[in-house]
Amino acid sequence: MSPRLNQPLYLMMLPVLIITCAFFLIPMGRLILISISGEEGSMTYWYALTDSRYLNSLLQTLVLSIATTLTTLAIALVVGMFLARNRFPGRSTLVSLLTFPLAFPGVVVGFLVIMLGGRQGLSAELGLILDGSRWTFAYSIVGLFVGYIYFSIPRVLMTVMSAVEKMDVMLEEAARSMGASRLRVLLDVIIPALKPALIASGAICFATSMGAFGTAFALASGINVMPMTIYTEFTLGANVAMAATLSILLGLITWLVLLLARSVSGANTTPAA
Amino acid sequence: MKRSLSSYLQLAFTLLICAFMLVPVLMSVAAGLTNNYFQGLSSGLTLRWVEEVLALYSDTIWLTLQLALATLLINLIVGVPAAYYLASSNSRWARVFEELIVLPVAIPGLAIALALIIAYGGVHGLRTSWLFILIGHVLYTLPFMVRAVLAVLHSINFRTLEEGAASLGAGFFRRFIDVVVPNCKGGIISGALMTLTLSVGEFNLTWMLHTPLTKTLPVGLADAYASMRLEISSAYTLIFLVMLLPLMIGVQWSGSRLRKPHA
Amino acid sequence: MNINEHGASIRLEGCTKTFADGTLALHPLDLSVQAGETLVLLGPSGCGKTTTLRLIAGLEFPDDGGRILFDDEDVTHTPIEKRNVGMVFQSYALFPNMTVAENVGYGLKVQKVKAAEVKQRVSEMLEMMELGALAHRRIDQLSGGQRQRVALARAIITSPRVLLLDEPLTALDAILRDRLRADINSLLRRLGITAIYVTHDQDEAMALGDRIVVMDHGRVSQIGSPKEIYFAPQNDFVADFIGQINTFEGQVSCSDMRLPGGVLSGVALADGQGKVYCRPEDIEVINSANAGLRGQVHQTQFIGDRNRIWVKGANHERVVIDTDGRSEFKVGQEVGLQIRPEQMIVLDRRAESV
Repeated sequence: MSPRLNQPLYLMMLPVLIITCAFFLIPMGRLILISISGEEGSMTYWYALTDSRYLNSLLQTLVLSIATTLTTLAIALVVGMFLARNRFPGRSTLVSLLTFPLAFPGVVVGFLVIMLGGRQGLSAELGLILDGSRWTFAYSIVGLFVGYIYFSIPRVLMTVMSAVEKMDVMLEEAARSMGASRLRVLLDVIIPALKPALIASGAICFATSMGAFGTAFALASGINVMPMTIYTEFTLGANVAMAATLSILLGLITWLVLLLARSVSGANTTPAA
Repeated sequence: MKRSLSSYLQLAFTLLICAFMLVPVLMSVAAGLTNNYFQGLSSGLTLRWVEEVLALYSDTIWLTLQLALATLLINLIVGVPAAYYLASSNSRWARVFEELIVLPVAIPGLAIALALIIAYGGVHGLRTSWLFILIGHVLYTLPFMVRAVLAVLHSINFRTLEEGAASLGAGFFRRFIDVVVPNCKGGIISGALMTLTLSVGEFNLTWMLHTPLTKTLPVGLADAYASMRLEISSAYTLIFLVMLLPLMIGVQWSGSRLRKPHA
Repeated sequence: MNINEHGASIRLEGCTKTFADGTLALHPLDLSVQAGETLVLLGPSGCGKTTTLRLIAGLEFPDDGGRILFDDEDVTHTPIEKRNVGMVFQSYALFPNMTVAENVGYGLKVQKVKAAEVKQRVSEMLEMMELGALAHRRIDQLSGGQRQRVALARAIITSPRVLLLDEPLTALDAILRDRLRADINSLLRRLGITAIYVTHDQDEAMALGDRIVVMDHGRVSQIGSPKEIYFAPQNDFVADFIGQINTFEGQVSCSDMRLPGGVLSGVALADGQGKVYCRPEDIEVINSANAGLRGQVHQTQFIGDRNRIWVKGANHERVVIDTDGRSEFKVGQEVGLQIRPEQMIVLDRRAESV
């Protein structure tokens, strides 16, 4: 493009830059400053990573997020393969049903988990019929896990489905013609072909799970996931420095995982919704 | 056509997952429309709870709509030109800016909200204004708007179009309005629907940024879940779903439209 | 390495194929392929040739009642992974996550051949296919022709009972296509393997096939050697589809056919309305003075080894004639046409009425 066509180009970017600087970069900078402004100074990071309360919260969140990611990937792989490969009446309805909850905020997902596994939930009713006791899981780590899977499925499924649709069916046929069993085809052909999509959507799923707040908030269970811990520190403990420290740690982890996934898979890794 | 056993198993599993996604929603809808959920549907259907929610929480609904539209307006005004800049510029800075814009999505909403409160919570009048929440929503949704438009710009040869317009004497802003914007309409629509959907459902940031006078629908929902009877919570959820439904249909429609190759 | 087996003989009995959406892709098909034979399935797109190949491969299954036999073993319900077939795809279908050597060795690995033996056989195969230097390349670093050779190597290394090739040359440019066609031809002869080759390209079919199956709308139009297909088509479809051909149609009496430009003599048809075909190279151009059939040169085209001329006025449509490359014709020139009776193609009426 000629320089003449280029002239006021930077003006187009200016508003966004101002917004991002004023409301993202400066606040994040302040957040970092606040995090080391407490009594311990920058030792607050050491403290956050060694104090059992914070460390446990971090580990719990990590385990929960990793478990959610792996389970969701497995579910999305099976369902995505099936929906992308088969044409039958009602298929597009199923796809819509599975992607509709994409827009549900965490609180609503928490409420839906209560509908399933709360004191008056579906499983409680089922338990009453079967062995006379109310089966509840909503308020334990299981409830969180179920909720996290619920909001992760739509995101991951969409990515996996579009990757499957782009996959060359003949690769599978070629492997089968050489005698490969279904399991081998899955391991040698399908998963390698889907790897970039699986890594990308897995990373997004992980990052979203790490930062999810609404579900834990709605379930009000005893499990302190990181965002809950940050919230408690900030509101109840009024420990702003620690809340800031934990926020930055959490932000760093999710950002690094997304960055890593992008460099490994080469795919676009930005959380969808 | 004969289907193998394994494909029936896959179908069954898919249906199971669909049920997992759908059943709690249906239960919630049913609960919001029944007189007494604990007695079941036999207690009769009613709109009583919906009316009660509207009486109690209608301000949250209006605020949510107001926020979503304001967010959309800002995204359109600043996001579309930014996408154009990112698509046109070859400079190293453009890549840095792109990373920067997308960064807020990679950081948990809670952290961003905390940062905003620390930086601007003390500004007089801002903390209690709905504009404070608007800032959060713009930060969070802008990347999606920019991405959607950028994707379309990358797929069309807008430079040739622009050079054509320039050869006819159109100036920079004319070209932008007459040539660039109409040709990335699909991306703008899809980005706009995404913005509305995300803004309407945003909770992580909003919960931290809200005040008793600035409650959005998801914040009100969290309130209701904590303090109201199940039927009211359900009726409230139902209203939320009804608001979300056309947006989600729009998102899926625009998504499938964009996925088709350009003629 | 023992790849010089002849493979299996193959028999399809009453194989019909209806797709899920109700389209009938294949009318009842009976087909038999001898061990070691190269059979080409030829036809326009949608004629059922690929469906037939996929039935033999085990990627599709025939409707109830159809049977597929490899030698005398019924494989109708055997899925592809148990059939021991080698397959070459139009898009190569090489595994992008594996190197050339890993691709070629994959079939052996799946069959649990010991690693050392896999290595040995792969390197022999790569040498034979002149791919030795590329063993550790990634697939996306190969040219189209190299990919095709890797795909072939991968398909034959397991000594399959039949080699199935689905338009393997379509994705290549014309020059490469000619070279690889010759390569494939010599490879098939050398291996003596049973091979089934699907193509829509008649030159490919002629060059490669021991026998050609011409298909149309899910049915077999004709089965025969390339020469039979070319010189003795059994129906209009085959006559039109294979090569250039002229159609003469008119009233016949006493072996003479009345045409706009005169009379075509020696037509082996009973009296009444009739039709004969003739290839462009089988029409002789003679002096118009003593010719039974006359016309004017309408257009000429020098192709190198021959002159192709179009003559109008002789027949209802223009007659295409290939003459010696050194002959000279002027547009508008009056010419006579002569066709020897044995070079007229008269369709077997019984075959046509089937």
